[in-house]
Amino acid sequence: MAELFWTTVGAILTLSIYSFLYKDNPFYKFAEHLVVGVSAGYYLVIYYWNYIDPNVATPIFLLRVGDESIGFMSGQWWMAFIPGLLGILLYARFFPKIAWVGRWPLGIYVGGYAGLGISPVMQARVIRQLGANGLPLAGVDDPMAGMTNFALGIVIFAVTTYLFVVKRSIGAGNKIARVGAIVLAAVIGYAGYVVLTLLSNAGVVSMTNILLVIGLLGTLSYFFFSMRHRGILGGLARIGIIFLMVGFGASFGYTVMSRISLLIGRVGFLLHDWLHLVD
Amino acid sequence: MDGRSLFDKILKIDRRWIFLLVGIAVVIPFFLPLGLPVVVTPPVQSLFDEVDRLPPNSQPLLMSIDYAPATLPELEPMSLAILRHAFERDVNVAVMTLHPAGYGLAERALLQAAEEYGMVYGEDYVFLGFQPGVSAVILSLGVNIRNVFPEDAYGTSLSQIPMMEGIRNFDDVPLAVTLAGWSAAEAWIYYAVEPYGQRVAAGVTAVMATDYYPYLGAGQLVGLLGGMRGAAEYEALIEHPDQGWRGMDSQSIIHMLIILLIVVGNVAYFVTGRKKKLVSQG
Amino acid sequence: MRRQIPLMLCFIAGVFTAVQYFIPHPAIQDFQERFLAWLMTLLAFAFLLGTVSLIRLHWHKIRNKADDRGYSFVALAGLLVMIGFGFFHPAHHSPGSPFNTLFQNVQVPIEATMFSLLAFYIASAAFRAFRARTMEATLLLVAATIVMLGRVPLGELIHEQIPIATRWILEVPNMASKRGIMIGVGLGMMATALKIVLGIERAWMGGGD
Repeated sequence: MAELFWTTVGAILTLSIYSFLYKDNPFYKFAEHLVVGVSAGYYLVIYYWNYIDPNVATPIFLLRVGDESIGFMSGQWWMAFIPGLLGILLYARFFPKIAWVGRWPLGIYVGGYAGLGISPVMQARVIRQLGANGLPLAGVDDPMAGMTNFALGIVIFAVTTYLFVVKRSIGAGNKIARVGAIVLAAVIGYAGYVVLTLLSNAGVVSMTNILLVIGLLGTLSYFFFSMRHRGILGGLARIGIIFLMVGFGASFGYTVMSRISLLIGRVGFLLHDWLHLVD
Repeated sequence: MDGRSLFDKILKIDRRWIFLLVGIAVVIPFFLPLGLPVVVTPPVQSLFDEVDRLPPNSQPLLMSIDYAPATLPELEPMSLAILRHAFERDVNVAVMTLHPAGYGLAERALLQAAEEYGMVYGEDYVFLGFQPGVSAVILSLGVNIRNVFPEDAYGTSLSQIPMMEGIRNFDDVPLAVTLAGWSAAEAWIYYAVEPYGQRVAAGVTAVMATDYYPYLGAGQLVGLLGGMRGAAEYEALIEHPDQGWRGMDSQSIIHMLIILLIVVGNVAYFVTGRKKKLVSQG
Repeated sequence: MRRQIPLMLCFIAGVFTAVQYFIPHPAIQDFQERFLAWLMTLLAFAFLLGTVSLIRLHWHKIRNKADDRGYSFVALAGLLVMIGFGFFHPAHHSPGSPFNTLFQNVQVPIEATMFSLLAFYIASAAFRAFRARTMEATLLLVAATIVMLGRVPLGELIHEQIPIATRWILEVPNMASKRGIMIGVGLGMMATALKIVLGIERAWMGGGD
């Protein structure tokens, strides 16, 4: 009975939030403000019992660390008291006359965490990533060669079509010539795919690794703003945009998947956990 | 000139009709399931193999369940699938969390899976609880777990928990899995993988998944689950279909709907754009 | 002095935590462990600053008789109820306690549902805003379409190459571009961290004396 009651409460709150899709209304606002208060209270309790009580309050006031007793003003006591005091000083910011005191613990906190991240970030995001992209460009197996060469064939077709039809205006005013130019571009694209496939099968090149290296260089070039994007840098930046757009397209596809999953979860709750309409 | 054409009307449709379409598209597969199989991808297979290699009743799998209610539908199926896999193989599991909301959610997933497999608290699994600080916590775990978690979440000293005997730091943890919808997974890479060489796998929301492929490619992650699809693949591997697999039907239908909306929107846009151009050219 | 001392503390803390990775001496590592515990304590208190700000905000609304003060009552009531059950109920830790029940049946459904609203908005945005106006936008949409198809079983049924194309997109162009972004952002993060530690970046101190 209690479970049914609380599941119904959860369902009503869920539907209150969904009512916003029609328009803003008091039910939505009620649920919105309720969760703000409940979550703040929840976090406060969790923080207190999981950290502040065993590491600050109990050593300072009950003179105990775990099962061991500690002495008042002993080393362990000071190890709890000093950070606890610094933590309390953070709240000085709410009192204008002594707000400046709050900067002291903030300085330790901000500086400490900033310094903590310098080496790991450099290592994980820069050095290791550069190392991982230092790939052999030939003489290795390329399991993704099929798709890479197919994609490059399409790129060759697209570039050739652009050169023929747009740049050189082949077939301008003559539809048959234009179609012929596009067909020729398709043939060239296919020929490119065949050649690349032969080279990949022979192990002469690893097109996937070449693409990875060019893609990284292109992306970095695009975000390099200390020089004008002209010449080689401009060309690399242009390639970089293409890789970035494909990457963002992948991110967008995954974002759609993610948001839909959240909705599926809630609908599953309503249909299965509350209404028991589905297994 | 006449009023609006069909495409004009389509472009100006009230968005609440689209909301209704989405709602219908997500509900229908619950009643008419497609039951299509899920193909497993290498990043998920990799994590599965890592867990499969863990020795039973020995050093624990460390799971950092760091998600909040906002990302529950994507990440809870993952945590349940991995926990079931571990318990099926009698692998000890130690669960912790770096997010305060993760406390309630980690406990809920852990207790549910443990009950399904008849696991005993303290011998087969332990819930360490929550600690604030992310980077500081992970770095401290690499030195001594008891520096951060001297007791479990219920106040029992770790020295009194049988499965934690001899487990001092990351040297005694063969695999750590982080499940998070925020940057906790990256923190595990920065502060566990790089300084200590800890083997780490991640389960993240689909929004974040594409950003973690470089870490996967560089070997900094030994496996990666992305969103509900990742959970569905893992459920397929452990042959225990649950929320992840069931959600794939609705996912399929809605993806088709979104693609259709993009196509229709673009067609309508270009048709009305050409019409306006023709009109302005007289 | 009101600004110099915090800057000095920031510098000392930052240099110590940055350099300790390279000094394996036991005394330094021992102090590092204690300092990490201090940072965790500070973070715990800092997090709760948000709760205090929240209380102040809603209390002011109630005191100043703002139009929507009724909702402020709701927020503060929720906060007080959770604090009451969390601190004064004897079994607040246990899974079936009122504290946990309210979390599972109030906070979890509302938060999860709020984020699921985005599914509707992304569908609406897909229809109204995602236009293949340029070559770049077309590339983005094509890649997104292939990925959306490849990550669902229905897409796998349409053509066996779709999941392979999806995997290729993720492991080649996506990885290359995200790696580039990652390196750039990583260098930026390091630069910002150094600026904070060296006192060049002072926004964290806020304004005033």
